[in-house]
Amino acid sequence: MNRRLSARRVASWGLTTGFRLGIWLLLTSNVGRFNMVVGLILAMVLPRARSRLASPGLLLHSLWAVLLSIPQAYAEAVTMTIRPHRLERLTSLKGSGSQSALVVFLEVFRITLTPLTIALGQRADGSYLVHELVEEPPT
Amino acid sequence: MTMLTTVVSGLLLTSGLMFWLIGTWPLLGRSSYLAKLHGLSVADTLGSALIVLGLLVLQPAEWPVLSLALFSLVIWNTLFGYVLGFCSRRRTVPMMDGAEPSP
Repeated sequence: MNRRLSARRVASWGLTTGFRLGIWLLLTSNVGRFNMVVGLILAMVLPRARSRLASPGLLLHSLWAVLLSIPQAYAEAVTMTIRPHRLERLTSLKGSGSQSALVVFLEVFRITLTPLTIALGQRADGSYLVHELVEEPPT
Repeated sequence: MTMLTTVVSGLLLTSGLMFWLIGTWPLLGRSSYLAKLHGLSVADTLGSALIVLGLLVLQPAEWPVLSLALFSLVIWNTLFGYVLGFCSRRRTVPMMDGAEPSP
């Protein structure tokens, strides 16, 4: 149990630090050793949000789902253009049920990125309230 | 600059502009607030991403700035879409915890 918690802590720490360092390197567009060290120190020193820690597996899975949703988003945009989707409805999409802020963020991002669905919020059971556009049935 | 990069970046920029036109056109119509948000996700997020990708092909030396722009555009546009949807729900659609919402 303890080992699993520390694995989660290491994964979350590594992701946050790597993300901050990446942004720093892109902003400065300088990969010199000195700049790297400054970026790494900044990434470690800046305050961190306290949130429930997700398992590394779930984090990777959510990240992968976000990557897969990018081509899907373009496919949906083209479909919307070819065939107008005029019907609106509220549905519910199952989420992982994780309490981790990062996983919830990634899931909301994945749902909202695709143009046919917009997440409106999370329900108590971990699913998402989703506004969806659907095609009119042929008359 | 080779012919290929010109053609590829031209295609990306044109398709991005097309997405922008397609996505912003419904804003002028009478569809509902949330339906307009769906269109905006086509224009704002996907169209802008294509335009920045086109610029990236055109000016590969500027990749740090352009990839930062691409990243921020995609994240912020999507998140603003969610925030606007979330705020609209408070007024129009009550959160139905546990119950299946009616269509």
